[in-house]
Amino acid sequence: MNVLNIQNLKVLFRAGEGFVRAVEGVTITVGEGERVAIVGESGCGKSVTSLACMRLLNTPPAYITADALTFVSKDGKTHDLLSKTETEMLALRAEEMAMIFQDPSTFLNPVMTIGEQLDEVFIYHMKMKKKEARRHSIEMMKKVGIPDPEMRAGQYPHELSGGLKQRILIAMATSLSPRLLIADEPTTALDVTIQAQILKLISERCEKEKMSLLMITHDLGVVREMADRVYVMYCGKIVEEGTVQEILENPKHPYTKALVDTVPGIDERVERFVQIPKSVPHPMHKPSGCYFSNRCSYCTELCKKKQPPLRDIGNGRTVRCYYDAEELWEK
Amino acid sequence: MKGYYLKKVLSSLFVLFIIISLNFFLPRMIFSDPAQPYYAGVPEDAIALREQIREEHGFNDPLVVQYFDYLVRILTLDFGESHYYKDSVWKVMFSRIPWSMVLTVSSMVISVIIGIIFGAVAGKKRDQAADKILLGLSGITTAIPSFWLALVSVMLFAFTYQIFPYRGAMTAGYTLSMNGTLFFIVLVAVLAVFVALKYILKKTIFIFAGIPISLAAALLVSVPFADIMDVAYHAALPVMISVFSGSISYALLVRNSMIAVTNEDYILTARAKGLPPRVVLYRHTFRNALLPLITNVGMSMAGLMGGSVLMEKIFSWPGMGQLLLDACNNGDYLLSQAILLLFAVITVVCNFITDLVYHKFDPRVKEV
Amino acid sequence: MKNIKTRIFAAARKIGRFLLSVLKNRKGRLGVILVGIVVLAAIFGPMLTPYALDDYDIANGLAKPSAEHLLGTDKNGIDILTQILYGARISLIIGITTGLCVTLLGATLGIVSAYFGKVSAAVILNVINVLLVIPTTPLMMIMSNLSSSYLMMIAIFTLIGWCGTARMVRAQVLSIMNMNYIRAAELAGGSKNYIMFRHIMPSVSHLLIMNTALSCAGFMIAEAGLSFIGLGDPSVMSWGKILVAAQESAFTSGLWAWVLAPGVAIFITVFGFMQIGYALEEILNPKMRRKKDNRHKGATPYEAANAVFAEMTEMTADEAKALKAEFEAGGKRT
Repeated sequence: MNVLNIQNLKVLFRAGEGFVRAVEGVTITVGEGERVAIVGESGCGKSVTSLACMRLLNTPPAYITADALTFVSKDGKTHDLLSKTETEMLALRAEEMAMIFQDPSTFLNPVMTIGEQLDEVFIYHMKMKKKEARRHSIEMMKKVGIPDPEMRAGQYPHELSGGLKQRILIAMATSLSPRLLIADEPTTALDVTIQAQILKLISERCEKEKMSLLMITHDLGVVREMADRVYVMYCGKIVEEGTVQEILENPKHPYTKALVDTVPGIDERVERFVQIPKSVPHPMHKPSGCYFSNRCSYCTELCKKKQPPLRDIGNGRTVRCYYDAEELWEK
Repeated sequence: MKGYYLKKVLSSLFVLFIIISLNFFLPRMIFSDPAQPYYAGVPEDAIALREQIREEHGFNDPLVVQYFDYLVRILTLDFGESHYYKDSVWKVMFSRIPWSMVLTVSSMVISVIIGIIFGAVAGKKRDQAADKILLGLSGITTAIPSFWLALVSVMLFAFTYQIFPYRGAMTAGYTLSMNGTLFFIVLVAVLAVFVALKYILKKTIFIFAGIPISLAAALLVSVPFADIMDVAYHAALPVMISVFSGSISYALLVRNSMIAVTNEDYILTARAKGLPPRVVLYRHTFRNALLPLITNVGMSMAGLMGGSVLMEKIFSWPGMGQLLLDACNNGDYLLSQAILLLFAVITVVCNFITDLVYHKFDPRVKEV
Repeated sequence: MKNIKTRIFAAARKIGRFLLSVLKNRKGRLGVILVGIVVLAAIFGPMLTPYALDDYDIANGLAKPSAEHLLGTDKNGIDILTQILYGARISLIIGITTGLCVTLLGATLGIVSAYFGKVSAAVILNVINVLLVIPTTPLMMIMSNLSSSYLMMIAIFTLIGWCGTARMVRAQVLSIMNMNYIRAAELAGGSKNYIMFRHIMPSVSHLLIMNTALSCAGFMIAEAGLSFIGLGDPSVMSWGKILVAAQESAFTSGLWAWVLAPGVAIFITVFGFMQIGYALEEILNPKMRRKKDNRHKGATPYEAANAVFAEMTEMTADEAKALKAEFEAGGKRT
């Protein structure tokens, strides 16, 4: 059973008189207890997809449609997220689906103490009194491995290190043991040494609370550690889908292959830094054919002409390319 | 923190020193004979007598000696006697300060309250009716001189329709009867209650609430109600005009910072927590959006005592601005010096208070 | 010779294009029209009116607006409209001169404090600190005892008003200097002066152009206020002064035009300058430029969004297969 089911999600942003196409028909499913990753460069629409699921995008400037955007809560009810009112969404957020953000230093309110910010979850969702909420908050802080939680609860975010702040955000998100945890690049802003600890903490929490995980990242190393299944996104579209093993060892799309090649050490054949030529096209000026055509070393006339559809190639994998991998790698 | 405040104290003292020096040299630049105010009643041709007065007051000493004499007098808080009012400068100033404050404090308090409410409503969502009205109004009020607005409303409400009085702070012939001792006793008593509450309940808000509440209580007890109503009736029109332009500028400030804060990351966190929009708005957005207002209000607090010369002139209000204007026109420089120094001291003190309050509300210490 | 000529032409064309873009901007157009009216009134107005400022006609004093005196007369029988036309001159002169002086002085000191060593920065910042604490209006009231000429007013305004501009410019220069591209220019061996004129000046200049227009507006209001409390130049006519006279006698005689007209004149001028300032901000600040997409003009945002959503349909896998086959066949043919 799928906890989260996104079918053909499209998101536009108003920009002056025109629109930016942030997400162009994305289909993602997250099963129960499954750990799914969305991979892509910055600006490819990963974060927007996750925010759209939580209904955290302001409309306008954002405009959202989808064939289906459903979520199954703990009691087995299926919720159509797009038709929900803001009030109905409030009950789902934090209780059923929660989110961890990228930069812990800007995602905590600077003028409220850590304790106050954690308490809010219990006060507004569990209708607890302040004292009881604080007891639960301190309990949560212990669970995410914060030393001396009583002292920390009285401190302000600027008094904490980045790693601790991210732990606070994790505590905040998992305190009501939601069904689905969305982690939007949770380690990007942290030191490399802290990253592993935070990732470990996230997977521990997911296991213990039986949460499904939707991990958003640009780091294939993180993907290998944290995900069962991977979606590769490029310019607002899914270009490839498959299990972690399959994607990392046997990429079918030129973009995925290029991404895998850029990571030193994952693929033994690579001996020096590899880069993908040029950069992600501006969202207002995407190429007319396949969005990757201007950077793809296998590009043909056909690719420049028309956008290829997502193709099912069996074994639970899909790829957005006209050509089969064998055809490509031969060239 | 301590180093920061020490530095501030030193720089404030330096600023005050510069102003005292300015006070000393300006009259000597403006008047051909700085001893002029002391000649009161002495005829133009009594040269010997005038010379005697000059000698008596030390105007014949070398400039350096005069300067040091002046510094000593200022440090002993001896501002001399106003030659126009024939009274000590201290007395003249303190008879005017309360009147200035009636006008400015009340209009600022009302402007801030209206500004916060209007700004919050407009900033809640961009491009709504309230937001558009605010932007339009602010475009107009910044281009209209408020003293002209005052003139027009005087003509409309005091002459064409005689709803409000036009001159003075009280009805002609009346004087304010105030029980000074009672005022003082009540003020201290109520303030003490609030300070006690602060220490018992450990909420700093009691100090902030205590000052205005105790002031209001003391005034209500010590001044006859009829007198208060009379002053309020006279102050209504000038206060309304100051509030009109003041509240719009505060509202614009709140609105802009609300919009800036709404785009902050931590607001997204608060929403992702599933907090009701009302809570996100008041607990998270609003609290952060009010921070710039503290600095702004603190800065305009410095102008409170100074009052508004223009408003006071139009409404013949016996305030500090009018006093300074008269002192300048009469060449009463001992008085104008003292007023300028008083204003500067008030500004410095207000800057300090603003800093302290800001640190109270924003835990991130900003050391500039 | 020819080189200079083409360069002048190029510069003229650039300036012309800039002025045209001001006129194309909605706010800019409004501002230019309003300020234009006031400027024309200031230059030609006194020639058009049949009266002069010393045409005493006490018998005809406090006249209501009529065909002869469009806005009526004051208690000496002097035409109010004439006074306003003359007042436009002083208002514009003081506003524009002070605006330019303040911007020039503030920009120079701001750049110097940010760019040339610690000593100059310390001196300038301390002076700014002192000036910020000194209450401006009282100081002006005291200073204006020195001389009542309007040149004095400009001097005082400039002496007190530059610190805001200087602080703004300093902040801007410092933030630019921390940008990577300035570091790159320094590493590439660009001299201090080269970086100053090539990189820093252009990004400060748009701020200054805008600031000039806005501070002109501000000083016009300040001038009117100071003349109103009697600190203006007694020898020239000013809008503030008309209002003083109006306060004394127009109220009781109900001469509305006398009170309203100077205020409207101030409003038009100040509003015009502010609109030009905002327009310049929109034109010069690249962040505020908006790209126009006219494809969905006229539609409501939701309709337009739906139209874009509809554009985003994809072909099916079978269609793609057919297309690929077609292309491969075509590719073989050529």
